[in-house]
This record gives sequence, C-alpha cells and structure tokens, in this order.
Amino acid sequence: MTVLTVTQLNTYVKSILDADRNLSTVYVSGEISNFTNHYRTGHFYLTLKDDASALRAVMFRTEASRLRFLPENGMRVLVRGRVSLFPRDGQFQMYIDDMQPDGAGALHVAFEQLKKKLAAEGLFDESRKKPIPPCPMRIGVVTSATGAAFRDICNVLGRRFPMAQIILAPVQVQGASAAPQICDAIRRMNAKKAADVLIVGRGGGSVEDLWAFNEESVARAVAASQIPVISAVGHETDFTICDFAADLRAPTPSAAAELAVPDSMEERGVLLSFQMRCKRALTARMEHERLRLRQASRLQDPKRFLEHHRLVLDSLSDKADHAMHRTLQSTQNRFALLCGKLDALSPLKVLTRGYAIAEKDGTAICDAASLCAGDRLTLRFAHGKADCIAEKTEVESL
Amino acid sequence: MKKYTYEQAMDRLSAITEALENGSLPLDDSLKLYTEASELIRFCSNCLDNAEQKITELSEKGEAEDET
Repeated sequence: MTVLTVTQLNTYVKSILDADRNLSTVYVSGEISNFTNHYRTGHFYLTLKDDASALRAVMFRTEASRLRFLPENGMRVLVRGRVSLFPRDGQFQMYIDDMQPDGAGALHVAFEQLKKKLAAEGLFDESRKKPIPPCPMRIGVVTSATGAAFRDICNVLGRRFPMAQIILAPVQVQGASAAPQICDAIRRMNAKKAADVLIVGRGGGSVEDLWAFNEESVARAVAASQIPVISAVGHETDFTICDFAADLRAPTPSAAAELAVPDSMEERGVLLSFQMRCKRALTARMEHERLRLRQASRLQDPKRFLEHHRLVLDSLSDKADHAMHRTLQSTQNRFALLCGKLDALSPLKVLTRGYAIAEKDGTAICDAASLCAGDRLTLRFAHGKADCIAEKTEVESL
Repeated sequence: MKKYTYEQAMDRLSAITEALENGSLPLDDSLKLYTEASELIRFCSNCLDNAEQKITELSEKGEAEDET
C-alpha cells in the first residue's frame, strides 16, 4: 500500500482532470452568486449555481478585463472555460475564459450597466450641461478625417455659416484604439482651448462599430470637457453613452453641424434689426433733445422773453383801446338821444310855434286871477320880449 | 474701430443697441455710439458676405495648424 501526501493526491487528481479532453473546453450556464471582484489582483471569484448544485469558478484578470460588462450576483450567464483543481484547497473549479449574459447581449448589458453607473454619479445631470455658444467661430471636430461624417459636417457648416473655422482632430472611430484617441483629442482641444464648441461623433454602423462611444473613458472625457460638446454618433435611432454625457445630443453628424452654428441668413436678419433699433433710438433721442433745446432757449434768451411779454402787452393794450372806444361811442349816442328828447320838451320849442309866456316879476302867470288891472307884465316870445300893461282881467269860472 | 471678431462685434452691437435704447447717456456719447454701431454693422455684413470656409487640423501637440 502506497501512502500519498495530500499534495501528491491533489496533483494526481488535477492531472486527471487536466487530461480529460471533455473538460478542457466546456460551456456552462448558471446564475452568479458570491461574486467577488478582487480589488488588488483584478481576478473575479464566483459561484455558478442552478436549482440543485453549485460550482466554484474563477476568472483571471486577463480574461476579466476583456469583459465589457461587470458580472453581478443573480445575473444569468453562459460561461466558457476549463475544469481543473486548485491543489492548495483540493477544490475543483472552473477557470472561465469568457462570459456572456444569458438572454440579453453582452454589449446591451454593458451599456445599461455603464449608463446606470454614470447616471448615479451624476455625470448626465442637466445641471452639468454647458450651453452651446450662440455664435461659435471655431468648431472643433473629433472624428475620422476620411469618414462621411466629417464631409457632412463641413458641408453643413459651409452652407450655414462659412465664417466658422473648422479644427479637425482626426481619430479612429472604431477598433481598440478609437476610445483612447477620442479621449486624447478631446483633452488636446481643451488644453489648447482650440475651439468654442466640439462635435464628437461618427457616421452610422453596427453596435460594435459604434462601441468606442459607449466606453467609460470617452464618456468621462466628454463630461470633463470645458468646451461644450455636441455628440453626433450614428443615426437618429442610435443612442450612446457619449450622447448622455455630452452637453447636447444631435441625431446625426449633419444635425450636429446645424445645431452648432447660426444660419448666415438669420444673422443678417439680426444685424438688420440692430440697425433699425439703433436708428430709431437715435432719432427719438434727437427729437427729445430738440424739444429740450427749444424750451431751454426760451428761458435763457432775455430778448425773446421780453418779446413774448411785449406781444402780450400789445394785445392787452389793443383790447383796452377797443373797449374804451366802444364805451365812448355808446355814451355819445345816448347823449345825442337824450338831447333830442330834452329839446322836444323845451318850452322854447313851443314859443317857436307862436305861443308866448306871460311873466310877472320873473314868474310865469298861469291864472288871470293873480293879476289886477294896471299890472305890469312881460310877454316872452321865441325871439325877444315885450313889456305890457293888463287893462282888465276876467276870471273864468270853472 | 477696435479689432473685433465677428462674435465680439455682434456682442458689442447688442450692448450699444441697448445703451441707445436706454437713452440715459449724454447726447455726445450716444452719437459716438451710433457711429460705432454703423461701423460694426458694416464690418459684420462684410464678414457674412466674404466668409470662406477654413479647415485646419489639430496637431499632435494640440496646436491648430493650417492644412487647407
């Protein structure tokens, strides 16, 4: 009987497992539990289980770093790997090469996970979004120099607002080096303050083609940009993490160019309205000043002040003259009328018709009884008088 | 006139228009501003009429260099 050490036995069992061709590549589906992402080594440790059984598994850093999503407890996955034994613990386990979410695609899960994570950090918050400048003169474009997207952007900018200068940072927009190049381009644009607004994007393609714009590094570079970023990835229906991190999402690269600059025609309209407003404001101002001048000069020039009062005086004196003249006229008229009336009543007037007044001692005699025969009396005529003697009186009885 | 970019000229123009409309400046200043506004409008119109698209490439070090 041979007595083995523990190590010898474990090593022997491991060699049998390693030699089994069925166990060198196996696919297993199960649910993740006890998931540990070892913070120092970057290895993943987990248990795969189904209703009845459990299986220990490990995914080393090299393979783990290739995963686009992060495994989570409770996630149903399909893994590929080999089965072997860890001699130190005598534990048989699965060494995972690759892992995919069971059901939804890995990229989909990765997208949702990153979106959730960055949203929780507040990276997509509206309050972080910078306004796009209304009239940027330098448009930074981070895209492929040879792609249709760049051509479209140049066309639209040239048509709408040719004055804006285009600064291209040529980058690969797909493949492994795309994300680092995009990040670097955004950082260089910022370091040099080379543009007033950035358009980051590419034309349409498959989800894999667009993947660089779903990378965490790109999202962080976009969010960190001091220059406002317009994200323009793929077609209208394509949403990327970059879109959420950007200050503005454009459905396509052409649309991004439209959003980035004003239209020259509209600018001409704005200019015209400035011109009209200035002219109107100045005309109103001049009118106002002219009025003020008129008022001020009236007070400041004594000659004009006197002139005014002389006019008033003249007109008042004219009025007084008129009034006096009228009063005089009517008084004269009345006087003439009264004179006529007086004249008609005058006794002298009666005398001209042949009557005479008999007077005694200067008093007119109305009754013969006041005379005695032999009295002297005077007869007064219209012209002249005669001294007479009464011969006899006769009194009429009534 | 000071040397402006189109954007700065538009900003200045906007400020002048508001100042003129406010009407509280001395008349002399208003007249000067109006003259300046006229020059700015001529400058901006020229910019719009004579603009030609210019494309440059950001160098590796981050400096913009002329390309076309």
